[in-house]
Amino acid sequence: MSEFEWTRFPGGDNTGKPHTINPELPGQPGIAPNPDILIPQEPGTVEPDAPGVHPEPGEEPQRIRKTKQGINKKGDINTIKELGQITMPQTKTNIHCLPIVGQIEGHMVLPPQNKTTKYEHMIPQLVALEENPEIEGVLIILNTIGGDVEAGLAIAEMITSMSKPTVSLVLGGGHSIGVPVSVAANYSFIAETASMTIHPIRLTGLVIGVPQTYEYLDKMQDRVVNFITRHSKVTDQKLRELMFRTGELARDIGTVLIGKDAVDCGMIDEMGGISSAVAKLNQLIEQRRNTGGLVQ
Amino acid sequence: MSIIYTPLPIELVLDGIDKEGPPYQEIEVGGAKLLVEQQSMDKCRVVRLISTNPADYLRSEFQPGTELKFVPQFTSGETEGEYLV
Repeated sequence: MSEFEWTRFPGGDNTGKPHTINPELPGQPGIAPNPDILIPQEPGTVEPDAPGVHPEPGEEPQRIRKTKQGINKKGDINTIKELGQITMPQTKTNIHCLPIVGQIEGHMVLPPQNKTTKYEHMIPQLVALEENPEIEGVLIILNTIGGDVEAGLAIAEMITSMSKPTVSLVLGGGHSIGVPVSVAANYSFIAETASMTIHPIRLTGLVIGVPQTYEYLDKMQDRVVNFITRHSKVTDQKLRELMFRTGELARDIGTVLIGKDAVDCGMIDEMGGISSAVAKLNQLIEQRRNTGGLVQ
Repeated sequence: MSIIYTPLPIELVLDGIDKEGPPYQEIEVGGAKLLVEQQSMDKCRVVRLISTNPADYLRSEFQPGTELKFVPQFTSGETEGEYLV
């Protein structure tokens, strides 16, 4: 359906029809055949390592070690409390992740066939991440096709003004308004195959009749361009050159940067995956601890 | 006025804006936000998990497709455990 889809099925499934699930279908994941049984998995079929399953009594010492490590420097009383839990073992992490997928949805509710990340979810989450002392770093994972300019810039400003280390990782795509969001982090990564489309803001289907309309769009463009140049190593001149390049996109002017291209032009800091992103985040957390940003 | 900045053609993005979407609801369970589809009076199915805690994504009861049951529960101020898997 879109130019970004690559499927062997003709036509695609994104018909915009309401999503209906037939409860009678036998192969549906998560539906127990008997309506009386409401457990998600049969007790016998789960692997012993699966989360939420209690380890065998023989594995207990290993679990204690894991738990102690997980709640580092919180004291022995907490360790005992942790062991006394009957429910699934809580894995405490000091890194939280912020997945940004599909369209970034802002002032307007988009039609249901769009997958969206909503700003009314993201902004309170960012506030909670900044405020929670147990969270020491934030990993932003992007696979976005763009979206609302103001929502994207709001999220980008929130990320960049956080006092905690942030690392972004672009996977799949970080197009249009995804660019300021990805450069907003302290350090940014892009996967080798991920792409970022740089193109001008436009009002499709609307004829620019008066100079004021053009001026307005130009101002909106400057907001995005200025944010990107302030938070990455790409220059204003280079970014505008990429943005207004002709002959690269079939339906538009602009450029698609794939993996290394985004690093070469200075927009993204490094090429890498999840392991390098987490390692970098841990390094930034360590730095912040050492410089006295975080007590305890 | 909102400006949508995307490489997708705007007619694709706005396709079906006059149609009604699936009746999903947002509920909060154990500190995480779940997008659920109500199936009957007391049952719903998880469609999407919205959380920043990576550990939440490993919880079997939060996996998309899982059926959750609403159970009335009387607790002393604790909000956790309002659901039963």
